[in-house]
Amino acid sequence: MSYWTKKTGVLPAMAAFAVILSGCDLEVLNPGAIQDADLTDPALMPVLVAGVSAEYNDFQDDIAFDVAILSDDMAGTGSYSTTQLFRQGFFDFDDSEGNWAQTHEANWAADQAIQRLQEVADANDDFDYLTSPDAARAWMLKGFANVRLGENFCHAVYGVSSSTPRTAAFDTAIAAFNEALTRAAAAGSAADAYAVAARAGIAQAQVGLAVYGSGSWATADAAAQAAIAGGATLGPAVGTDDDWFDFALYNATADVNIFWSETWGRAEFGVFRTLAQAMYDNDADPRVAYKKCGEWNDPTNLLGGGTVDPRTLTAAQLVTLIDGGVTATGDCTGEGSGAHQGADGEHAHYKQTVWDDRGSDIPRASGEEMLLIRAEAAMNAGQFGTMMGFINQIRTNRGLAAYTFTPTVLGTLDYPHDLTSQEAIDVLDRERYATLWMQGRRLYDMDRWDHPFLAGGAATGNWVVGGTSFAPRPRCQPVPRTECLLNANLAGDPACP
Amino acid sequence: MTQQTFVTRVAKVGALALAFAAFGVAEAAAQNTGTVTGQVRNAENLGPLAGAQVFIEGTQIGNLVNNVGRFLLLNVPAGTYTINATMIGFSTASQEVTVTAGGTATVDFVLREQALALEGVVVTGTAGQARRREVGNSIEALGTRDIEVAAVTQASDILQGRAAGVQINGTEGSPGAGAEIRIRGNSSVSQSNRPLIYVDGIRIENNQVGLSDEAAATAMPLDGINPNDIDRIEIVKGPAATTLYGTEAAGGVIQIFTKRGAAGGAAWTLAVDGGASQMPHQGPKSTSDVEPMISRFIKDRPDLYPSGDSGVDYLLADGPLNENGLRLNDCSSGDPLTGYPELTPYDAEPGCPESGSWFKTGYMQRYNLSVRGGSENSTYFISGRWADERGTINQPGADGGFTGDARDIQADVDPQGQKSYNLRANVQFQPLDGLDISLNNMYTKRSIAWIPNGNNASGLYLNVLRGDLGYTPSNQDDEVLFNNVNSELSQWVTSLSVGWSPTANFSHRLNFGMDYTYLDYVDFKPYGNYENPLGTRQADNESDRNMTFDYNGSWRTDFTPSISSSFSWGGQVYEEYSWSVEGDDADFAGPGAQLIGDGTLQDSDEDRLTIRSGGFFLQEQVGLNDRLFITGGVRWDGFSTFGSGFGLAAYPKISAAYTISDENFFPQTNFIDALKLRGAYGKSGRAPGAFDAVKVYEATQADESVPGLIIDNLGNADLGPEISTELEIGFETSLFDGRVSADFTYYTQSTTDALVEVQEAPSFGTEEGTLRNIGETENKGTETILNIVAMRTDNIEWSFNTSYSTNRSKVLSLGPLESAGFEIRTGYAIGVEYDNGVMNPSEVGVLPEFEPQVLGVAFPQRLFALGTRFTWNQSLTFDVLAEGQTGHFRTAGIGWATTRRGTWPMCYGIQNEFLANGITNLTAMQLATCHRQYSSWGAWTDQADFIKLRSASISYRLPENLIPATRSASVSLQAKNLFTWTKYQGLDPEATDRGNTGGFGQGSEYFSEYYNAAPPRVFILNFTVNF
Repeated sequence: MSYWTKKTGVLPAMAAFAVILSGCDLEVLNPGAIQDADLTDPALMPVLVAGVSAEYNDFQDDIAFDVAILSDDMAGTGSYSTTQLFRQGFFDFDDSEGNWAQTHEANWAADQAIQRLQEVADANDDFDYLTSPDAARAWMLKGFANVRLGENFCHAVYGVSSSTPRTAAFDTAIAAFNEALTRAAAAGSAADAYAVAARAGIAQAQVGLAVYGSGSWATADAAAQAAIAGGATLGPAVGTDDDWFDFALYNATADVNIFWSETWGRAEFGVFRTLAQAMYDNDADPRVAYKKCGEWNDPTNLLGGGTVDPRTLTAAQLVTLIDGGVTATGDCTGEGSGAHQGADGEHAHYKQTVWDDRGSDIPRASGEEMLLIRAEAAMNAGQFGTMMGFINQIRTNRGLAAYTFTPTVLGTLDYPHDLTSQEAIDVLDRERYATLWMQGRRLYDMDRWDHPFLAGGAATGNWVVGGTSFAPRPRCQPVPRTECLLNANLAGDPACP
Repeated sequence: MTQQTFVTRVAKVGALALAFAAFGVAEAAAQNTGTVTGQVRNAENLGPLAGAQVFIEGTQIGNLVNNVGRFLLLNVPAGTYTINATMIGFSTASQEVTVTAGGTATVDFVLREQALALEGVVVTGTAGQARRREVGNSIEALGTRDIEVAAVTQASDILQGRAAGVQINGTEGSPGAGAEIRIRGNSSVSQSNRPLIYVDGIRIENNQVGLSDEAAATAMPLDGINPNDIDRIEIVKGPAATTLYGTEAAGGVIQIFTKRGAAGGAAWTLAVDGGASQMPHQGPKSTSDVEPMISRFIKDRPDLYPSGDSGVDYLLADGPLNENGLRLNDCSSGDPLTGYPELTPYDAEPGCPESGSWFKTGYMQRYNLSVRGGSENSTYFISGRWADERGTINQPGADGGFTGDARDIQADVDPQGQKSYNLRANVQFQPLDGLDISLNNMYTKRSIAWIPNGNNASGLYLNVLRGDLGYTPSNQDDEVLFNNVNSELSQWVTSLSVGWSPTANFSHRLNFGMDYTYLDYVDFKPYGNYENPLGTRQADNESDRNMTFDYNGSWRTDFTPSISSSFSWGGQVYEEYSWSVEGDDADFAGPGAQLIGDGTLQDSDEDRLTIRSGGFFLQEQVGLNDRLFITGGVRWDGFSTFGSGFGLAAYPKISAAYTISDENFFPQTNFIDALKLRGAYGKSGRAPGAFDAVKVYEATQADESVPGLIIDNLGNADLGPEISTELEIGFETSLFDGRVSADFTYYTQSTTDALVEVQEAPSFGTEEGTLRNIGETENKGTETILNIVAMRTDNIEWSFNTSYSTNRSKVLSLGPLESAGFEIRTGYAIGVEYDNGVMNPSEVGVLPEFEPQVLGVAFPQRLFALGTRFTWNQSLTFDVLAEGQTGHFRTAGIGWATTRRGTWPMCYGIQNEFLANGITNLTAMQLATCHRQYSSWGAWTDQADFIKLRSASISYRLPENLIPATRSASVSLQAKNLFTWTKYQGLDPEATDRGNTGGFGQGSEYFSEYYNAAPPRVFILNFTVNF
């Protein structure tokens, strides 16, 4: 010891360095990151549940966007690789990952928040979970996350387990909505809006159970009726000019509505040559609202002034059409990107104007949708007159002329639609199409009606240049590849082909 | 007497005389003694060898050579002596001289660079330097001369092709764009594989500061160092050698040492560079240049290719193909495309510059002035540089550079290029015997103006190549250049180094310093731009501060005359603090220089991050007969990013170096000068990221702009570093009197507890993955260096320098995962191209069948370089260096994306066949490659082997006294990237989309080219004068 100490000074040097090191705090708390232990203040609970809402909002526009493509509300006219594939029916378990993961994350975030609310309540006498409006909101958001799961996915999987029928999502949703109603009732008027939304959510979920499970349309109708009654307490009654909606919320600076980004900010998607154009191009329905920013020049009159269906053109003729270019109409100048042609440079850009702002909100549920549920329940009961009453209530609310006829038969779905058809199913189909346009609810409709659009789209032909073949469209989104790979309980499960 | 003790002694004895030597006025101190004076110069170019040692055998008389290459020995007793001149890295020279009483004898030396400099010293992470003969691992060093002869536009160029196992991958071909560096490939699947970089003992930032998404490019702090200031670079390659550098050193260490002062009067050097950059022809010039893709399938799936070819015949046997360089080289003329009916007949594009090309010659000018000098106790090196390097993109302007309908871009937008200045002041003091203090300071300011490019709807290449299917209105592509994308980078590196040697064998060194980088980045699309007519602006302020406090000591002793000991200890505290504030705004009220806040869509974001680490080490080296050295040591590290449940990380090492040729039993031959065997085993690590270990929430803007909290990271309290263990063995030898030297290394690395991001099944509830120490990788390779002096006469020296290195990595385990992202897959190399392969490539008349699979290794598996240098009469030097990188694949995303728009000329043949006859006559591979709908990303993943003529230079040292009042002067002409040989299908195998953004998971998984500019050719005319 003395040798090292005296001759080399090694130990003193090491000791000095140890002192220096001990003075250094290696436990760095970086600003901006909030750790679990920081969330003990009851005042933070609204912020925590607002985060759950943010998680929900994060997926609502995305899943609505994909479903809008799959159901031909709009079509890709841009540079994304999936643009044309979705349209042609190619949508496999690599494509559903984002929607699946985000929807589950919203459900999980609600669970995490609810657990945190209970923990904070246990630790703070001045905060009561049972009467918290934030608790009601969290349960309500959880319910809607599960309704979207059930509506869009072929199977349900929870907690890395094996798959269950999609009705499990509706059951989970109804349980969550009922808990939301209980919490809202205890919370008082501060949670009234959440209660109405929860009632509407129950109606949506009951439709799912009626279609896929053991539920009934009568139950769904009753739930929708209850939601309408609840909505009337929030403001003007349904059927007036100011209908009620429960929205997923977007804003211009943080969570921009993806419909706006891709159709206004860019020209990646448009209404050009979609079902919407086919059905509503000459019909001034404000629910299916879009602008024509450009038109094909058609220098050699291949379209015969609109008399020739471009689907009948050969590939070479379409190329000629494309080479002729697109001329701006001037109607979109100064709006967003102002683009008059799709980002692929081939197609005219028809820009949807339903979500005409970065912060346009997308409904989770609405009084109008409740009326549509009631109309469908009436149709299924053969009460076509009652059905038309609900539908006309919506049309009147939107300033449209009420139908003056009453269907006499259920009929068979035609595709594309004849707007003059008076068969009940055609009327309901086009009214749901128009009312819920660009809300991402259409895939669910088509599945339960065995819509001919799903059969492979043979009738659609070459709607968009490059679309030379069409596969049968998915009726629902599959459990994604990541779930199948990472979830050992899905080995051999029918949900994972 | 060891060389080090000699250095100490001569420093004490002779320092006073150095000042006199500078003026040549020394006189004998006594009547019976005389004086010896003279010069010591580099044999190759007769440049001064400041710091060389001159001493008289059998006496205590010696001295150091001053800053102009002169020495002076005073009070030499009259007589005849042998005088030796030595310099680290050079062979020793001896001459006899007779000294007369009162007389002055003159003797000059020229020293040659030594092939195997066993007495040369290197830095190993301990307090002192170690002689090469003591070091058990491979260390490569680049000296001043390597830097002088190389065609260098920025510091990272110096390393390109000049060190075995080191890959320097240029990215965007724009002035200021940084390079991606790998040493011995990759060993981590989730963390950065970049080497650490030390400058004068201080760690500097090795990641980019800021990334321009708009330009798809970024600048690297390494390139802020003035190449003229660099004295030497040492490359410490693997964990076996970097153990003492601790956690984060597993990717190797690059040590940069800047020039120091030397005693003597002020010695000035002025270097003036004029140069030009030129973008070569883009794409194939004719059909004969278009060859079928050499797909990996040919080798691995012969069953799919019974005919032995890839199946892609571009059907372009007739007619010219593309004389206009994909409309980049020529955008105003050309009729070669008219043979293909799908295309619009080719006319001048509306936005085409009036010169008819999107390219122009980018000129550069650089001025570098330095001075070094000093006195007995203090020396200095001061330098300054100003440079203006213009890019090759032609921005239309009012000076005749634009057509009538194009915008006068030059009036509104800074021209593409980089303006920079650099200041350095290095001073050294020796206030007391045994105490030396160095203060090194550098400040660099770089103003880089980018152009929008890359995978960017607003990018130039993307819009030009897509023709009228791009995003610009009416194909007016000059509109994309109406966009200011500027990076203002300030960089300050300062260090204080205090060395204290109370005795000749006991030393301490304390390094304390800071590297501070500040970025002011603006991406401004003014009011009136085509994309957002009301304008958008992004402004980022980012800074990164790296603080290093490093102490180490060593004690050397001889246990017996034949057994020596060197005991080292030390520790280091390191802190990185980074912060950034980003602002975005859009929709301005009108034109002008709008700022954040002037628009209606403001958004902002702030980040602050601190990471700290501390560690200490012990090391003992035992030497036997100055031939065999065995070194063992351990480093312990703590790190702020380790989980709370993880303690200190320990990294042991052991190495042996054996100069076997010094042994008596070694055959004494005429051709083996020296042979050293070496082996090393050691560990190093990589730490997880700042928040990986803790569960944290992220504040977000929810609903209608109300605050919300979302879970950002689940955390893992048990998280620790991943541990890389390396075994390397090799030898170094010098043959035929130094005319041949060889260095061979074999290394094998294994990384355990590798950090792998594990994503839960989505039904768990969150997409956020957590890092876990569950992976295992291996990484092996060889490095061979062979230097041959083919001819050596009094007037001619002609040498060849070659290196060849291999690298094979493999992911052995990812825990329960098959893959971590697309590019990391169990059983394959670390970093692969993974996408759809075509399973029925040769079938005719059917659609392609796709199956996702590994298509190839993303990083080169073989690097080689061949250089030659010819010197005539110590005045005329030719230096040429070619570099090759092979064994890797890259996706020509530019071809894929352009083909889908029908504007990739190489696919016109197939596309026209499809238009005429459908798929009837086409193979599935042809469809997967060129059909606008079925074109697959994977079909464009192709071998990216290349050889480039990296550097070629001719330099001439002007006759002395040609220019009055100067010591010497030289002129040189240098060229960089003169030629490229490759069969790669895209524009350039080095152009990389966002390739320099760090480790896996941080962007470098994009091993693709996606509308990026190729590295240009550069020509530099240099004039250097010393006075």
